Amino acid sequence: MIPSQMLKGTLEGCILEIVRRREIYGYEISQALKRYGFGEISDGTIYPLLMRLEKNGCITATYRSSAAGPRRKYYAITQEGDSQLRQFRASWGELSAAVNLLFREEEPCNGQENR
Amino acid sequence: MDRKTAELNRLNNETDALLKGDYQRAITDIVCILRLKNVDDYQVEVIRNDVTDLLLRSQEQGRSVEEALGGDIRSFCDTLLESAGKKSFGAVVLENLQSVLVCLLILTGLSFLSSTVGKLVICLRTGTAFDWQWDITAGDVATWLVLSAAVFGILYIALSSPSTGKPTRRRRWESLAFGVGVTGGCLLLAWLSAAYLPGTVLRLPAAAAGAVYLLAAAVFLIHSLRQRRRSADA
Repeated sequence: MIPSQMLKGTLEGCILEIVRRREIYGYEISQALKRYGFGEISDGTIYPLLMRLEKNGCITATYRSSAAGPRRKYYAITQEGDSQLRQFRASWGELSAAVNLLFREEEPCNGQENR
Repeated sequence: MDRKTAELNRLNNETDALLKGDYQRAITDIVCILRLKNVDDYQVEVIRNDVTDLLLRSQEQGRSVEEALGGDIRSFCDTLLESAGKKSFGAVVLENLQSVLVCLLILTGLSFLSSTVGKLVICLRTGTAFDWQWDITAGDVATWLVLSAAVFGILYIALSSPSTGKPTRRRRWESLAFGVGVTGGCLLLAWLSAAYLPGTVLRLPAAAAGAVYLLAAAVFLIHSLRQRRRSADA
């Protein structure tokens, strides 16, 4: 299970990417995150992030009636959201490269590194 | 409440009724916290709509409220408050003004009563004629203005406070000390005003003042009842 502190900085960017792929509603986002290996992310964790993204103009929300039952709130990405997502991808690329390099240089881990 | 908000409020009332037990309590608590923290009325209803939907799904799936919200209600509301739209300063002033006006009405009313009754008792004891006048002193005016400003300030600070966290023991003591300090300050102010600003600034006919108070109280009561009925109908 990924610790929540580690997820904190990346969840918004990941949600943006999921929304970018197609118009989607809240519950589907948590299911998508689960499919990609993020574990159980509660709706209550996702909802405030969606609110912040909407407030910052990164996504828009529209209510649609569904055949299955009550109307649902669908989210779609905006131009601003696209721009934020590009920045997130660039930052994530830098971070993941740095972390991977750090762990690669540590190998082989057999206690001989500092001699 | 404008029409758009009232319509969403009506819809939310119908959906809320589907929630049971802990879920019902949770949505009530969340809405109360948001309203107390000066979130815009329409935004409260939008959030209420979304969170009710979320809780209904959790209810169907048998998940607890904490599992649905990803933690306790206060933490959930704290994260919501970071993004929720607040009422404009003007709207907050107008809403608090109602509380301040009520406070002013009560303060001046108490002052009127104590002054009139006090004078009547003295007249009965000394056998002098009652002059049916209400003497408003400079001290009275100063006390009313300062206390009204204090009420407004306290309301504004309390409602602007960002945290909804559970009060710690230290915070409780601080609140108690603050309350005692404010009460002591008000009593001191009243005493100082009576002692150092005794000069009369205004004389009003007591009967007319009494009639105005009764009318003001009746208007306020009717207004409150109408607001309550409007909320119930919505």
